[in-house]
Amino acid sequence: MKKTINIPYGSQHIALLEPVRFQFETQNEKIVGVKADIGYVHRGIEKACTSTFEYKQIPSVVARVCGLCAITHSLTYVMAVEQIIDVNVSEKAKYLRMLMVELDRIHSHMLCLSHTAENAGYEALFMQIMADREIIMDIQEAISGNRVQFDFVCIGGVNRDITDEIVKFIIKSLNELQPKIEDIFDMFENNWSLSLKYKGIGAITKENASIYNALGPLARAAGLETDVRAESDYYPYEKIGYKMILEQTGDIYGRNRVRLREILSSIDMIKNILCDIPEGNIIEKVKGKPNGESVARLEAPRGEIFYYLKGVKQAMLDRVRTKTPTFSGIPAMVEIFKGQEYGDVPAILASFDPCMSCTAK
Amino acid sequence: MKKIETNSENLKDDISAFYDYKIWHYITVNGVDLGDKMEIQYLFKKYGNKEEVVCYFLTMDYEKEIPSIVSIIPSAYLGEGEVVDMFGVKIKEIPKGLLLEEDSCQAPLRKAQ
Amino acid sequence: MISAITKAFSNLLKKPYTCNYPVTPVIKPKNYRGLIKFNDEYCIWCDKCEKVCPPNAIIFKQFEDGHKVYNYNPYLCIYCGDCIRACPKTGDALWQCEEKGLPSISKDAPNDDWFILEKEAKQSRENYKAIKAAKKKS
Repeated sequence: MKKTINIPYGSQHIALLEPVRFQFETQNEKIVGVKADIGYVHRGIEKACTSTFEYKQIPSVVARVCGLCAITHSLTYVMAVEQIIDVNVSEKAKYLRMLMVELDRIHSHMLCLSHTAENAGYEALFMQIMADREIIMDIQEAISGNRVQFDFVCIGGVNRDITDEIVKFIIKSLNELQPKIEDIFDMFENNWSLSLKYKGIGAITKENASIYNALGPLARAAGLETDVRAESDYYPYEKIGYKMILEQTGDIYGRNRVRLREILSSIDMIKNILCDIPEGNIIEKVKGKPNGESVARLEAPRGEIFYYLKGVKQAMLDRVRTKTPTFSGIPAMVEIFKGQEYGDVPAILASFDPCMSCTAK
Repeated sequence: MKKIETNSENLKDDISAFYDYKIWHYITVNGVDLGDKMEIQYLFKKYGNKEEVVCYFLTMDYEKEIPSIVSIIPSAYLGEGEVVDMFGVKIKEIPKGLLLEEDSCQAPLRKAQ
Repeated sequence: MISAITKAFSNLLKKPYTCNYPVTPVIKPKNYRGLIKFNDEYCIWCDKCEKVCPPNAIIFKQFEDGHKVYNYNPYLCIYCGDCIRACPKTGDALWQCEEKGLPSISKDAPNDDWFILEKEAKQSRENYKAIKAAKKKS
């Protein structure tokens, strides 16, 4: 007689955020095997980038790979193009780009925390975090003119300048946000019923995290020191007080803690950025057509984002390769599920912060 | 990007001699269509270090089969699966169908199509 | 834990976070990216906006005597503002207002008619080129 039962989870499921299908092989309540199917939302963006759009239009195209990481996708692409056509971006543009990336990190982490709370059965906390997240969305709207699709970055710099009025507004809003985040931190730390769902569940060791190439908060919660912000000197992150945030437990609780502490450190970094934005042009003139190969990496909220470009002296690029954080995170996620209870799956999956529209592109 | 050439016979030996999971972060497998043949790239980056990305690459004919590196890097099956789907190349033990279905357009990023 | 419970009860007496949207309007920030506006009096017909537009939401149709007509699809537009930055007469001929784009209904035919127009415009350009070449020869 067969000893195990197969239970599908997705592609449509009540506790699932995005279309992905997991096939769990369970023994009683325990998961012993997992298969993941990720190709539900493949839209062929790489093909569109090399057959329909010219290289100057692509920042708007790749921004639409994923709504949450709109800024990181277009920024990584732009960094790769700037390497091929030799454009030197001014310091001011670099600071404005860092500002948007850190704001993006805050609101993406808040979304993930709210979903983790919801999938652990705490609907009120979900509502509260989503309401507080509006503060960041308003800041982004004030800077870029739009809530989700910023179209803020362009080849050679950024499209819009920041005014003193906006700087004041950002500092006021961040001061308002900080105590709220501390409240939420307290809730995640001390709430007894949440700790039953979080502590010791969905854990990964440091060894396994590096064997399966975990990224972002997933790896940092297990103590693996990987962060693109520390691994490149394209942006002056050390100047604005960047510190790598590590936890050792590797479970859902650890991941939540990494995200909460990263939000607080991002708030500090944004305040530092606003204090010392240098003077200068925000945009440089771009001439020529891309010829050659280049790669660019950037730390998105979920981990490392990677672009490979190849140009052959034409307005259309020869190859655009996008590697998104969730795509490389899938093997580690599959590994974590093994040995867990089936009932914990929604909370574990939400704590990975999976983005399927990024993964399938 | 630091490029190191290899070939399909030596690929597994080269990668296993080079790759140590404690030092190297495997980024992804990438395919580039050169017009008459394929270039397959394996990209790595050192943890906690500001050195550039290291790229092992090999060129192959469309019809030839290359070995898989899953036995050395267990998470490489996704990157290889994407190359198999997008370019229609053959990699040992990597099935088709990670992103595309059977009735969808096959090998969309191939230049001849 | 106790502070969370007291907060939960005190929330009962507070106003809701959300606003009653269609009745009370949403406050938009300054320089909100809205619809693209055009004035043909100042346009120099250089077609730069048409070339840079990522979703092809601006199309110029050309007639046999050479004059062009501006067409804009607000439902296709992504409000990125690339056309404004490319325009040599920004502010006079082409500018971005703070008015929000409305969703379309089937009566507006946002897709089908537009795709037909796209083809016609392409054809009209080629026709004009052919006429010009023929004139030069004669």
